[in-house]
Amino acid sequence: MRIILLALAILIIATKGYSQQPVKTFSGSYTQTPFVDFVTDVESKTDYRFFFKNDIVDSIYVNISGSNMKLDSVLFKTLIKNRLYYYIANNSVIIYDGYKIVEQIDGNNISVAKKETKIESENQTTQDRYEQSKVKAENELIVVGSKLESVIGMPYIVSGRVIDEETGEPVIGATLYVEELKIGAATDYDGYFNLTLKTGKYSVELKSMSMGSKNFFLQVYSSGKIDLQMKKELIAINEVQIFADRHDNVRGMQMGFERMSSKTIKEIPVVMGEKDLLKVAQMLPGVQSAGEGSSGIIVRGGTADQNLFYINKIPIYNTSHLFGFFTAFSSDIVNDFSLYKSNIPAEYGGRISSIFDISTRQGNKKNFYAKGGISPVTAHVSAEGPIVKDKCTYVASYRGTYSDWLLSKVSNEDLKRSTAAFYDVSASVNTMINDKNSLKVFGYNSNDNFSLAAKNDYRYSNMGGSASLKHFFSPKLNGDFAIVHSEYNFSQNDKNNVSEAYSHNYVLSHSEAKADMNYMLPSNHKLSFGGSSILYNLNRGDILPYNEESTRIPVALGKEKGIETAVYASDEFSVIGALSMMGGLRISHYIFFSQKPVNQYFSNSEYSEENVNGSLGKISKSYFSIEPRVALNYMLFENTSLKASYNRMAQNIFVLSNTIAMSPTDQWKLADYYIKPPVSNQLSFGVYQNYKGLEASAEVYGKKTKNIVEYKDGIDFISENPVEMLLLQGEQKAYGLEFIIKRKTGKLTGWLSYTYSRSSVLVDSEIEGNSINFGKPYSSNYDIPHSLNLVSNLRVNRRVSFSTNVVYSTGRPATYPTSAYYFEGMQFIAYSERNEYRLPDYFRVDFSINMEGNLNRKKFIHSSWMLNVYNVTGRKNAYSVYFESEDGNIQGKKLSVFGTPIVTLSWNFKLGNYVSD
Amino acid sequence: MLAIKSKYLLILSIVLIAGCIEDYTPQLNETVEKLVVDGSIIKGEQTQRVVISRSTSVYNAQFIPESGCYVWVLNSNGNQFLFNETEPGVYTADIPQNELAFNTEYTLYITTPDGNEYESETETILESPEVSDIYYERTSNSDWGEGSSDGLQFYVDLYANNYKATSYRWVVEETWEHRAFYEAPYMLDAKNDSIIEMSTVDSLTICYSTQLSNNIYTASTENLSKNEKKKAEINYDKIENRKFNYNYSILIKQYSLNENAYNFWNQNQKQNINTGGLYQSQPSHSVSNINNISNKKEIVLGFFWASSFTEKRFILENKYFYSLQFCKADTVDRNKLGIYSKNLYLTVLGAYEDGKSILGIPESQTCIDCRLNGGTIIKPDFFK
Repeated sequence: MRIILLALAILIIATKGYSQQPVKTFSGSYTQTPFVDFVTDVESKTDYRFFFKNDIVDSIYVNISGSNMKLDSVLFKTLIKNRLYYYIANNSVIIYDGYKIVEQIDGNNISVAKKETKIESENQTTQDRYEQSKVKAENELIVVGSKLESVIGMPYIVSGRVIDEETGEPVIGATLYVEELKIGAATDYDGYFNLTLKTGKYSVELKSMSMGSKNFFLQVYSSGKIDLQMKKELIAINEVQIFADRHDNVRGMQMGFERMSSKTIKEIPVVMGEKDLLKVAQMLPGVQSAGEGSSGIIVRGGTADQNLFYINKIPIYNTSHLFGFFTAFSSDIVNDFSLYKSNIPAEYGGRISSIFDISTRQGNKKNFYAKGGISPVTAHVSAEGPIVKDKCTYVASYRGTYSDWLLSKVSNEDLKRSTAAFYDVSASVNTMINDKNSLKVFGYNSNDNFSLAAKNDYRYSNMGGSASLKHFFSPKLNGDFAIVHSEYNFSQNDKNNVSEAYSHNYVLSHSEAKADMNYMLPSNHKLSFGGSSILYNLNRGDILPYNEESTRIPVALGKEKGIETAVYASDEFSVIGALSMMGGLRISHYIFFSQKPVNQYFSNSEYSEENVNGSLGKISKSYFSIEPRVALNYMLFENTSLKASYNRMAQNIFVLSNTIAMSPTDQWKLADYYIKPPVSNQLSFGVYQNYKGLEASAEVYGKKTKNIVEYKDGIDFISENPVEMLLLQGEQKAYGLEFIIKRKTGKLTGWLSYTYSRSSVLVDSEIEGNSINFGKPYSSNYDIPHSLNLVSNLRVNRRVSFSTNVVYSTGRPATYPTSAYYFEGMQFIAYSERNEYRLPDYFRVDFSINMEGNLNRKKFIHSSWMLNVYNVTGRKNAYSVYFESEDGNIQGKKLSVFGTPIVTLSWNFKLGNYVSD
Repeated sequence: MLAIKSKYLLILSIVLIAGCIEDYTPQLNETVEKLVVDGSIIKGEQTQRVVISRSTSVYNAQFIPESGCYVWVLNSNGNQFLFNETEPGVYTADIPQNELAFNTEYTLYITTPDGNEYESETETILESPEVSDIYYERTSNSDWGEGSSDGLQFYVDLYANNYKATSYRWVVEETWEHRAFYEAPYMLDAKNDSIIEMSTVDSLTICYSTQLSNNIYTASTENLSKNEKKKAEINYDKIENRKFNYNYSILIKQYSLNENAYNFWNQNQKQNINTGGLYQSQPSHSVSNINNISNKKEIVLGFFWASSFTEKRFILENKYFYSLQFCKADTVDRNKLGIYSKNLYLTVLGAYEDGKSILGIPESQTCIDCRLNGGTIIKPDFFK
């Protein structure tokens, strides 16, 4: 409504402007005339009205004479040598110094406002008028560049940063939309953005998920840098909402892309009171859970290891706590996450299904602030604040469990002898070194430790650090340089049998250096380029006798080393009219250095012990991968776009696993001499539509992956056999349709998504023994055709909100026995072709109530309660189905993990008089 | 390996988070009946058996014999042994022990009535060492996640140094004494409406049951530096099942296995304990060593294995008593014996003032005749 009124106003003003035929030239003679006097004279002779601060023109005198002089040329001659700039809009003249932004001047209403004020108070000074218009203004005018350098029609680069006025933190994912050109830009993780604009005046809408929106006018003269501040519109609990990047959805190049703020994550009902971003991701179209309660995600029918998880550039190789019931990231520090599943930007590579990028909070620049909470399983706390006010901040978090206490309450003897513990900690320091440089340092550690019935001990840990420097070479060029190190290790002791008892330690280290550059070219080309190099050092570990009693033969699973180097470039530009394009290319080179001799096999034969024909020695192997990334966006109407993308991805590291869920002893393994990196090609099309606060999109995709890794029957990953003997490579085909409709504003928010998704695998070969399922295609483990998710949040008032999830999906494929037979009087069963059957359909409803305490802003502690009911209907969803012989009959059994409603209450607090997310 | 670990993970998750297991009967496609071969050559057995049948649907498991096959075994000495069908689908041959030598190889050949020819891979009889120590631990094994379950876990040690076979299978045969709740000094003769005094008081109170364990126990020393394995788990039973109330014994037969026979038995062992856990491996195709000679793609189920065995009996000296289930008994009205239509054993509940016994008739004859609970009243010689 407001927009319509504004448009109307503009129209009226414009009409008025033309009808008045203003006087624009003047005659006179000025010698050492103080500028203020000159202005008074000009104002009396013309319709021009001046706006400026008196102090900036103090020392300026005008020396000029003539008739029918144009103001423009007079000001030009007079002001420029004094390093002052001016701006003429209709009859208004604004004078300002340097690049400084002239704030809060109502650009279009100037003439009108001026007229009124003039009538009211003839004797006002220009300074007064300046101040007055500032107050009255509805939309600010921001001027970029200097008119001196201005060349009409020339594209200039407007770059800058959007920060939170209150905390000084960058606003991530804010979008700037230039209404006249229907183009836009989004801010990156540090709040930076770039726009290419020709000279002229534009109306710009700035929007952010958490901050709402504001409109302003942008006058571009030449390239320049602007800082934009946004203010949270909301007080503590009135957290209005997922103001998501509405423009992104329709206007952005991204498809199959989701970004969610920590706020959304918090409102979704959760199991056992733990906020969990991966569980939220599982509610999005095209994303599936890798099993009830699992933190693994399955994207578009791929496997769990085809997703790359980054937290502030650190890759995390195991994202689960406590068997996967919790995610290894504390939601306290999470700012937001982005999930790319269609066209993955060229700067990312290395996984074939998705990139899951988590960014953490950067810390409050003004005040100390802390928050925390307790749930039945964990306690968590985080703190942040300035180290140097406005310059340098820190954020630190800790989360730990007291599940040992729970275990000791259980009556089962084996469980009493079990222990389970986990924690995660993180710390970051963010420094604005100067205008051109900012530095972020982040460290993360998660640790899990459990022992079961004193027979198995497991421990695993992720550890990582990243340091990244953002540098502005010029307004046109900026770069982000990072060094990253991540280490994943696990160890286990298996004491089930004294003679076989063993211990195993596994270490994967990932060291990476990367540079990402953004360069704004004229005519709206946004160029990104950069490169990265990763050194993988794996020690798959040794299987060693657990103690002296054990006679286990030590097995060295081997060390592995690989270097993955990639360079990329991509360009986003407007092709013609409403059609824009992002074209990118990533070229990656991967080399595997074998650390032990590689077997040679007879040609055209299965890789097996019998077919070994000597050794190739310690041979290395290179793979090149040329990965085009192309995306098109065609704006059909203002709120409707069509998009298409093509994407190729390669993956050089994968998990050795023949289980359905990821287990804590799954080993990551590098592609090697025999095992080729899987490569996927994906094509997507989509329609995006915004309508009255609703956001809808439909996307279809087709994906073909070659060299997908599958496992031979009955193999063991801790055996001496080289891995090529244990697995086979095949082809995976996946296609599907994803539909989502979101409502992001109002009392009722949330989304409804539907996914149709198919995925099948074919492993066939002429060579005997190299086929799976007799060389026929079979459903992949996560071929889940139908999936429907509803996430809703109803805000009753500022203190109380209700949330509901409804989840439905087709059961995942399973292999069931199809025949029974007798052997020595026992009943044996024989299984069907792989994944020929399906588990029963999955259905779940969750519910939660959020209650905030007193809303007094000045209160020292704000606390809130969250009551959660997971699986309200208590439906016994099948985790798995198995069969056993029971009283002479074979009986199917269904195992459910959360077979009853699970009610939890958790308490959270915020400390400090600071309005956070 | 993983399957066993996963069991514990599973339990943990179940108990922690209200998991549950219930019956579920999904519809399964009808499949073609596959040929099933259950055959072996066991040194030490007088009669060798090859059982040929057809597989059935899962929910209607039954034995469908394949009659009229031509079955013979060829050994590496070049001798053939023809098997005769003695029962439908059961083919036997008495092979002289001198033809069943260690390290001799055997191949099974079958021609079915429809003319298909099958052969097995070659299997070798390997020598099995003496069964080493058998022992047990009192433990609460919560494999099935049903709370506390006090029981006995039996173990066997394997010492096979200097023996060629590195894989073994143990077949466990349990024998236990069980008793009826009441003694049976009298019997009601329904035909004559009279009460007969039994000759030996104990005769129906104490029984001995013998049962082959339906579980498969295998071991391989493939990954071990010595051909020995300590504390291999064999059978487990809860004390509340009352097998350990009186005399208890297990007989262990230790069979040597070839590598692929181990794979066959081990696969079925794993499938038997499959609890559908979190980190469960995918079920795999059945291991078999029988092929259709002219159509390698035909799936044949079962296995043909060659082996030798040694055996050892273990007698449990300690008793772990778990109270018998109480049985109610009604007094018998000696004047109304006519109401009973069949012979019933009677017990003595006490005595009347006149010194006559109060006879009782238990709610069920299983409370007085232990044979109705299985087993025989003949005491095996290995119990003292």
